[in-house]
Amino acid sequence: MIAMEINYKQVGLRVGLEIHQQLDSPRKLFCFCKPELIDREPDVRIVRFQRPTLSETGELDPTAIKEFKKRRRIIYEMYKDLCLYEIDEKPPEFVDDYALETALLLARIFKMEIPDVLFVSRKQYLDGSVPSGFQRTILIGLKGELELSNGKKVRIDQLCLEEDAARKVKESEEEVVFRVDRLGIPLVEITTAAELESPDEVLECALKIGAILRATKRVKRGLGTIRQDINISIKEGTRVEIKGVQYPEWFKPLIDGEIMRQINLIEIAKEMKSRGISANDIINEKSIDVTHIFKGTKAKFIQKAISQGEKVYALKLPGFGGILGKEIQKNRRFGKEFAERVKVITGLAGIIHTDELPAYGISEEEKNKLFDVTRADRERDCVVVVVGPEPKVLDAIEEIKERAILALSGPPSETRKANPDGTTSFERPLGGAARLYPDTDSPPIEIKGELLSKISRIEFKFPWDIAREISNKYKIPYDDVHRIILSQWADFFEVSINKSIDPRLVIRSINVITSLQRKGFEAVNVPEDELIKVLLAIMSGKVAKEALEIILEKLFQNPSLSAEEIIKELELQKVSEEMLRDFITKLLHEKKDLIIERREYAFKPLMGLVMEEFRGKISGNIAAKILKEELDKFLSKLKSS
Amino acid sequence: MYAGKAKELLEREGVSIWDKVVVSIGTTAFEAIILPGPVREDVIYLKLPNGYNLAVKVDRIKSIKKIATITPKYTLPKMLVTAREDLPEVSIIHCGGTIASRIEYTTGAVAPAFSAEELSNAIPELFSIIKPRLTMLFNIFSENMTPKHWIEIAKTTYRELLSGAKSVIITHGTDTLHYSAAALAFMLRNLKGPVVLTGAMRSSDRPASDAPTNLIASSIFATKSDVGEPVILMHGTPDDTCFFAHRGVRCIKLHSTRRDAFRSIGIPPIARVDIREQKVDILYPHHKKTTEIESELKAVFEPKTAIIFIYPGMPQDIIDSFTDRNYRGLVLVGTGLGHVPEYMFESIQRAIENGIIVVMTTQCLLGGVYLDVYETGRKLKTLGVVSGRNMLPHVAYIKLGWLLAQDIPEAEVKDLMGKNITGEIVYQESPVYF
Repeated sequence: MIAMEINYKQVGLRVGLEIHQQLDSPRKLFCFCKPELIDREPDVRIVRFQRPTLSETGELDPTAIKEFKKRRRIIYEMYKDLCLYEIDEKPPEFVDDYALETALLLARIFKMEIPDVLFVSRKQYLDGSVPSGFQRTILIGLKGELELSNGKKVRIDQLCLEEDAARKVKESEEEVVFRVDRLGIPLVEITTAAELESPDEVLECALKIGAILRATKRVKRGLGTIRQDINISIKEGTRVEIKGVQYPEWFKPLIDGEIMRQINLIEIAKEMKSRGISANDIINEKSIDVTHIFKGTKAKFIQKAISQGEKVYALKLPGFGGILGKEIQKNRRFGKEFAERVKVITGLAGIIHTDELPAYGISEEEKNKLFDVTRADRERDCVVVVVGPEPKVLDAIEEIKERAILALSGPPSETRKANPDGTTSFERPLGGAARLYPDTDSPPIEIKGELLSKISRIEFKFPWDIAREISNKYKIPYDDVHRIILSQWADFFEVSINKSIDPRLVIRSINVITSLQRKGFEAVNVPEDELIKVLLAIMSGKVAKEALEIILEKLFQNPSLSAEEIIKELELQKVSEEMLRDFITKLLHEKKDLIIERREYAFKPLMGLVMEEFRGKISGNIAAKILKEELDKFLSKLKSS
Repeated sequence: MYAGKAKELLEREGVSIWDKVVVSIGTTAFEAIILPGPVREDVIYLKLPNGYNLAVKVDRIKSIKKIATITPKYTLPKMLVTAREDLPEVSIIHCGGTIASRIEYTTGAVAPAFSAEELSNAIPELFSIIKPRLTMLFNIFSENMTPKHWIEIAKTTYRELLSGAKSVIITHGTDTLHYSAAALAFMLRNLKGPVVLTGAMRSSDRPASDAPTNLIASSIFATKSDVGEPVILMHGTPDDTCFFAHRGVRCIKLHSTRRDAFRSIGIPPIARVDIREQKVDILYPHHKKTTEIESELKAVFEPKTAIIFIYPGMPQDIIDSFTDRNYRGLVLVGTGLGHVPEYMFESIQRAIENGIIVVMTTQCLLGGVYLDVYETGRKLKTLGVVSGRNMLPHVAYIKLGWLLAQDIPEAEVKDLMGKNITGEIVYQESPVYF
């Protein structure tokens, strides 16, 4: 079902990027706590509840109600090192200067319009990720641009400075646990217009923005400090936001997967239309208690649920026969979209539908009974079964109806979570503009001329200009340098060069590291300092150039060891030519028979023995040269004797 | 809203506030709504379609063209739940702060919402505990409360209890919540049902507001306790699960921002309320019980009563100015055991000679006034200063003003100031409550 090649123009792909980058500021955005994560057990846990507030029109936001329906406890893990702000027990302090200046610098770099007065706004989140129930955010710049290599100018719609949310530690049906150490770390949110038309454009745009951020030298580095979201739509489709794209390599599979998902959902909508199903047909369906059908069931999970006093309910989805069994993402059937929605909103795990039965111990007979009690047609209709405590089951039934109604008009507008396998799962419906309103606790921020001129004096070079300079200076192909500069290795590259390490050696080491990471060392984090020590040892001649691969591999296998220890352990101190010559003369005597037998052709096996001893300790060329010399001498001696 | 250049620009372009416009600045243009804002001549306030607010200088705006006019409107939501006749009728008297508030998203202003509909939308759980009876008494910030407001609150509470309410919940701004609670404790005694004062440290337009849970806990207390004296009921810890009911005359706001800002001084809280289990645990069994004896209402206050904070270097004419203005009662918030600088003695003597009752309290809050320990204290006592013992300063002020407004001889007022009327003095100070 998934086409191998997607014609992005034809499907009308439109992608927008949202990049969140933590800033390397001396304090948090709205308080004086250190912007660092804490890795020990919390000192205290605080229990809270959040509830939706009335909107300006007196209505409740549907997203908010869905969150409230879960009635989950929110637990905040708190530390003595943090202040009252992190648990919403005091108002914000004034915005951190460094973070504000960094955001303004970025607005300058992207050629954005900067308002003369900035306002702190509140963005409502009811999932508990912010103890106040809203994230504080400031619009810093509007309508900038970034040029791609194909000459296309992508609009940077807006740049905001905001506080990071707390990090989720644990989640269950009854409660969700957040650690508040991350809350308040300043981050910039850069949003592009939905103008990117292929995964390649998306990748390039993301890498370029990432490189610019790093080039300011004012951003945090490392895992989790940059997060990317994308919003995707296609012709006849809807805007779907995918959160948490962790690696650039994920862009293409996620985009392709979402295109296929939307195409398949559009097709389902068309199919439903041709079957003549309307929203009213679904609304009018009543769910039925079918617990009695399963009294003697062989399905273990149903047995257990019934014995605990839980209920089994069935709902007929008219005209949905075969629809829920359709695969819409790789290895994900449409039924999964129903199940995930129910799980997220009501906390109930696992719904079953007749398209997949008999299965899970449910018999053909039970399946037929389901069709009978709901008066469903075995071909035309589908029956969905929900198991759980009665109030939750009834909530779940409503969610199933809602999702079924949405299916009549194609892909619904929602926020989805990126999975490592390139698929996505339901997170929540998309929030609207009503989620944003002014923060009455913060004063407006006047952007004065002096501040702007201070910003204009901050030195900044575009990464590609730096790449051009390095390429010219060291006579290295521009593309090689450019590739490194756009990658996460840009800083390492620059730092190394500034320590007078040969850029070619640095590029080689980065290639070695990336191939090691591909070989399963992706999670290993060797400090850059240690890597630089290895390169310096090679530059000073202490260690042979050839040793690079061995040392790095060893370093990745034992990330706790220092470069010196590894070098010592491998006895990689460079050997002198005399030592090598001594070894070779001894070897030639030992292998006299071989040499007599194979004459010049003995070079190859001898070289193998030499390198076995000296790999990484001396250059292969030198070893070959000396071996050749000594072998020639030996042979001529043989001749003369 | 707009003046000078800003006003001229809007007039010239034929646009006004709430218009949806396209604004051109620099090389770009964007859609926005013109907002009202604090009067300025140099900037225009704007709201982007995605909700962000900003302001741009008039000089930067090349043009500002109208697309449409927006009328912000507020439609009342449908009532989610209806009142149940079988539940105890509890009167909710609104005095300020906001139980249910709505935010005007276009301006960001918070407006109070106090109809049954709004309450049911904001806190539907309330309707499974009580049958609310709503009175909008006034809607002011609590820093603007005066003794006149206390009198109104006391009279209304008395009326509500008399006319059949099982209990009364008073919603009130938190700044002076403990003043109103103390005033109510003196003005209204022999309560038929619990009287609970509550508020919120986070306004109710916020998802994490403490208003809903404080009100739920108050409702549980109002229906399930036998406490017959006014209490302040607020968060007991930063958690949304622990609530304390404090004796109205032994409680102060000890923190300016925390949810658990209110603390009992010198005694434990009267009770803890658990909103999950819906139960009330009594922590201080010496509280007054509800009674069928007829309620006693004495809602009076002598406005010529004042409170003076003593500090090193204070000028003595502060006291003189009260004497010159014919005040009748002064509460001094002295240092330590109840001391004032010696150079103030002359003014204090003059005040007392002019018939002013001078009561001493301590700014230590805990402990109390002991005028016999040091020479300074003994001299003050000789001058005729009355010891307020371990009454909290604001409570002594309210008690004095309340006594002075009644037809009681001066000697008796002095005597009553040192005696317990409604638990305002702690006779047995336990070592555990500090």
